[in-house]
Amino acid sequence: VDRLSRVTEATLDVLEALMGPDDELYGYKIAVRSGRKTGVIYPILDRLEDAGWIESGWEREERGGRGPRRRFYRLSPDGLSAARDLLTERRGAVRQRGDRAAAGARKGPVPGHFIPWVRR
Amino acid sequence: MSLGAILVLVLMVVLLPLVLNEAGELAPWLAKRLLCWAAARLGTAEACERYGEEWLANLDHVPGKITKLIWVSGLVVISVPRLRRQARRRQRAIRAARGLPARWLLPPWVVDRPAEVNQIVTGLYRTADSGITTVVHGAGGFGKTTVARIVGADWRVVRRFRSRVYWVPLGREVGPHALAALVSGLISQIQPDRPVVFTDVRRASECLASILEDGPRRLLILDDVRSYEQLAAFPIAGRSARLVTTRNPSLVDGRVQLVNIDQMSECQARALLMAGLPPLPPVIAGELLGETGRCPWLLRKANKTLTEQALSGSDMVVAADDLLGQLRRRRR
Repeated sequence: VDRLSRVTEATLDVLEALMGPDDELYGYKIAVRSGRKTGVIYPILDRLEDAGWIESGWEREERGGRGPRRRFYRLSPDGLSAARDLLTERRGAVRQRGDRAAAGARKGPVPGHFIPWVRR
Repeated sequence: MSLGAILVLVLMVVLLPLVLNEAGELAPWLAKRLLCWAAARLGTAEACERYGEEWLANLDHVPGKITKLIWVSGLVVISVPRLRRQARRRQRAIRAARGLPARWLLPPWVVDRPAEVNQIVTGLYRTADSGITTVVHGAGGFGKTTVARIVGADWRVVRRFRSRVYWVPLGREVGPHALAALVSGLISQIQPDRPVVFTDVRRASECLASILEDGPRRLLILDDVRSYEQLAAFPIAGRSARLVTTRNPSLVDGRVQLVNIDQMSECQARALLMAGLPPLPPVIAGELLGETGRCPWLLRKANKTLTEQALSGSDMVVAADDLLGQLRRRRR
């Protein structure tokens, strides 16, 4: 993987969000997991993908080709070890973000959970 | 109750909910339109197509109606300018790399050393106009030359100096005659239309200084400086900057930025040791790292030995064990 020209706290949060077992992570979900605004997420994902840390691919056409497809992101094999090393170096350990999102311990609301009147 | 008060009451009770309801209904539609417009601002058709679809799919997962509009506004204000900037930077780097001489292309096994490289690049950005020499120093074999090559190929340096980065290989064997030839060669490289040949180092360096004095920003990378004479032959002048690799930083006087190159981090050392190789048992890999002292030169030698063994079809664990024994004997 290439060197990251800039490693911000948001970059580390995104890497932590990507470290989880979930392999269907798309932009909005990553934003929710990392506790960052989606606007911040996409430039970071773009940089990480450009540097070879992450891979992305379109979701399969399982809905009969109706509507726009989501794009899933995951750490590449090399990116995974690089991310683990970087997080250990900067934060001492890799925190698991997947459980945090599931428990609702985050900044944003959970769709259809925190706001009961929201239609899903 | 006055007529005015009744009007206000009607507005509050009837019209305001109606307006809010309409706004709520309108918001998702407006969000989609804004999203398509934002995607179209990304610069390339490929990016527009990709992010347009991706963002629209994400929009379906954003709860609420007004929230959708707020979410898209965030993308428009934060993501779009940054993505555009990153795309432009990438294009510039690609253009610069195309024009980069072959000597700046790094072999695939080279492992980046971001802390040292960033320190040097930041220093060059701060001081390129004020004639400060950056001295990359450290013991032999710890990667001073490689770090200098990474800096020379770094897109930030290429952009800062507009590809006017010059590599001068020095070393123990370079005496006065060879030095004059090197300075003449550098001048000819800077001014290809007016090649010169000097036999006297002093005259050559005076000529170089006058060229640098009036010229644009240039970076001279002097690799493996061994004596004061070698350093003095490449003076610093005008807007130029010098990057010197040397084992002896006391050779350089004046305004100097020192960057020490020591052993690699464990992560870097492991990456260099295992470059292009199948995984080794962690215990053996750890012991190999320990025996090399995370010295890049030794790590590269170990990597080359293991690569040769792997290519000849040897058992990697046996080969690594054998290498470990050799390294231990060498230390004794």
